[in-house]
Amino acid sequence: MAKYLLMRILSLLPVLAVVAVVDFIIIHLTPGDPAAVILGSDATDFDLARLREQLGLNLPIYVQFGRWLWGVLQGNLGWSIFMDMPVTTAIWQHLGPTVSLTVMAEAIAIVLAIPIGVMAAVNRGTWIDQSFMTLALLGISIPSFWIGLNFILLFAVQLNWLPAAGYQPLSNGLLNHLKYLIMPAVSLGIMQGALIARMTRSSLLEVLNENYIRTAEAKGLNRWIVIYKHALRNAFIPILTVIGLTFAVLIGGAVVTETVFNIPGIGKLIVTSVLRRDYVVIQGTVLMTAAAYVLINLLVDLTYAWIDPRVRLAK
Amino acid sequence: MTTKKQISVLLVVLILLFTLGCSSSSTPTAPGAGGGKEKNDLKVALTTTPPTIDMHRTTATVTQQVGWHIFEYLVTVDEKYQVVPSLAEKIEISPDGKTFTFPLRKGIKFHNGKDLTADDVVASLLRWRKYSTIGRAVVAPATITAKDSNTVVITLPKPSSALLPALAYPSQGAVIMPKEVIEEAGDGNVKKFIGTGPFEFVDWKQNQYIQVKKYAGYKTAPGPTSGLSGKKEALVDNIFFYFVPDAATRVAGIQSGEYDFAEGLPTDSYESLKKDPNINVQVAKPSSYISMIFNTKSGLFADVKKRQAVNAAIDSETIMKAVAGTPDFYELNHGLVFKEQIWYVDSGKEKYNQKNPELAKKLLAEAGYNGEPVTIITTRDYDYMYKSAVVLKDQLEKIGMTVNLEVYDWPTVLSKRSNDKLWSIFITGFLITLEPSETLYIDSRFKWAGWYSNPKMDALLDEMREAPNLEQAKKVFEKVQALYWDDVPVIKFGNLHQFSAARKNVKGAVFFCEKQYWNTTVK
Repeated sequence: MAKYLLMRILSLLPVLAVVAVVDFIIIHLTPGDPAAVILGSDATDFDLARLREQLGLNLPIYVQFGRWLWGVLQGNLGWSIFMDMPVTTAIWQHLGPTVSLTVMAEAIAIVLAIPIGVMAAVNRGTWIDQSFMTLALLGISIPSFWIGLNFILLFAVQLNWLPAAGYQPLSNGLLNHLKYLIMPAVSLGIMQGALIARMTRSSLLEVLNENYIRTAEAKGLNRWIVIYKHALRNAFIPILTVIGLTFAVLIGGAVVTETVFNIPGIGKLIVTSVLRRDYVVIQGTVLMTAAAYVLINLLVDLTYAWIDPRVRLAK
Repeated sequence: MTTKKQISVLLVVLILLFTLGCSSSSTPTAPGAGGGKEKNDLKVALTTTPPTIDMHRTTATVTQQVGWHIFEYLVTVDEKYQVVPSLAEKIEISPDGKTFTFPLRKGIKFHNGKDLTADDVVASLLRWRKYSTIGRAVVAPATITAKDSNTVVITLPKPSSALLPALAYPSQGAVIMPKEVIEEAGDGNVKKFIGTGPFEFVDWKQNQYIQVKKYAGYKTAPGPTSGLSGKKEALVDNIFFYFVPDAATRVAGIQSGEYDFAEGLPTDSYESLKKDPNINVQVAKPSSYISMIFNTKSGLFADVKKRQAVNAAIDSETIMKAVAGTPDFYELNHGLVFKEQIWYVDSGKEKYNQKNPELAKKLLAEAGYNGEPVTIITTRDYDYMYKSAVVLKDQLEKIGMTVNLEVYDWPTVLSKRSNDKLWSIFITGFLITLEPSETLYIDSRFKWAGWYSNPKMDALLDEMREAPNLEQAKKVFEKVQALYWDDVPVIKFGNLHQFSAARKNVKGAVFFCEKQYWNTTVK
């Protein structure tokens, strides 16, 4: 297993290399520069030119890339022009809210989706199945920010139960933390949950038609034991894949939701950095997101073997 | 260890890492929901994150909104926009009008406990002059020295009526910082935000908020509050400036009580907020005006006649209505300064808001316009820019011009506008100036985007700056404004007011040039 892990981690390198190059090129092909944003709209050409020189923005692109890459190879993602801190620190500071939001949204999604998916599969073709799948379709179709805005109107503005926006870290108290995260987490969780519910239903339906399920039922086993112990466990691999993918997407920053709820997470960091052309932060965050994506998928692969003993990891 | 166990260990490690991540950005002093209420804290929702709060370095308005609670100016303006002492005790001007002496008020300490001295003022003014366009234009030929530890002297080769307004200009202001902080900064931004203002800097959580707290050692200027001068008092313990870029979130946040004050609200929420019993709506003016800027360096509008043709066509009312929605938020006015200011003059008024497409077509024909494309660059990042660009396009097409409207994000507009080959027109807003020669686009030596240049205008501006008194300077300004409306390097559409809202428990937050939260209570 150690060899397998090492190989998978090494396979990260070409992915990250491609991401780094493409990312750098796209960002630098986009017009706009941080000097103009720093100095403001009333800045003159003279001031802009001076600051560009000071920031090294007038150097040829390949020199800028070389310098950045050399830093990355030494574990230094660069220095944020605007935040005046190392990019790694900036990412770390913004990771907490995103991780909290992701874990909570994913937990809500799983708790809602799996029972719904199971109920729909078990009651295939009935009104229960149709109602749940219509709900799931709605969940996928309605943008999470729209749900979020309506939550804000209802729970913050009308009922005044929850804060409209913002973030409190776990260190300021669990209740406070949850109070700020519950609305964004539910609005994100609904969409992810809908995806998971649909996958649960279709995957379970396939398994339920297998002979060993019929055998188990013929032996007189309790129906729910058959479903949960024999069917769901065997149907779980595709469900886990979807969970892994949605988790990886969220960890890269729920850009719109974080903006609507004003959560200082990775999504907001990316948006702010793009709007300010804080190049190194964008590059660093994209690299981090790519790495997280690959690592989460690796974790999902590892979990396959845990759930299904027939799956063997390459030696 | 079996594979299953190994995976279990991995999962546990990852969960621990996640938990660590969740608690890494602890903010022990940040107010929770309703937390600010018990603590006598003021929570303000701003529209954007400042690039820095080093006020010498940027013209960004948001920097001023936060920064002037921390830093103070040597001189400032009263409610009539007249320059009065701030950190200076008085302003002494020599009979020849070339030497300005500023004895400092005694007993003023920086937030780090150090006494304010003339050396700090000299270091601050020299640094500000290096970075500020207005500073360079007005103070460049001056010598700035410390006569003694408590007196600063500025000597100019010629008399100048522009010096004091430049020193008092709030945006990219000549604020005073400790000399050591300036020396430590070198060519970069200052690393410590230390001033003499009523609030001291506490914390900046990136993409969340800036916290300032009441400065116990603050020594206010004498006299009652007037404009930016006189008595200033920190009446709340902390101010949290939250950065909330989404307008709908700012509206919801003020309605729910998450924020005590919200800036830059969309005017379409005006009616609903006005009806809310917990909220006071505020229409702040004079605040800014919006204008279209011609590229006078190259392309179509290097020709003054074509600019005059466009000016003849402009229907300012339609544009302002599209931008502001309701007349509560705009005012049609031709002036380069606001009518509340002592500089206000009528010259050029007849050329404003002409709404005369026939004259425009005639002027275009005389100028030999032949369907060449006009490129307007704009952005949706600022609602007023996009809306006015759309109406402008329509008005130009009605007089037979071919118009391309190019929409980008704001940094791209800023970048494109510095290249004269890429655009014909862009739209922007201008904040109030204290003295009209500070207007960026009329003085060719500022080399600001648009690059208008007329030696006659430059000579008039010099004459105005060197005038011995306001009366004479104002007479020259009449000529400046008349020439501006003849040359139309920029077409002013109208004055735009700011829409903000406060919870009913907030008292005393005044708008003067920008919103200020000293003398403000939240009970």
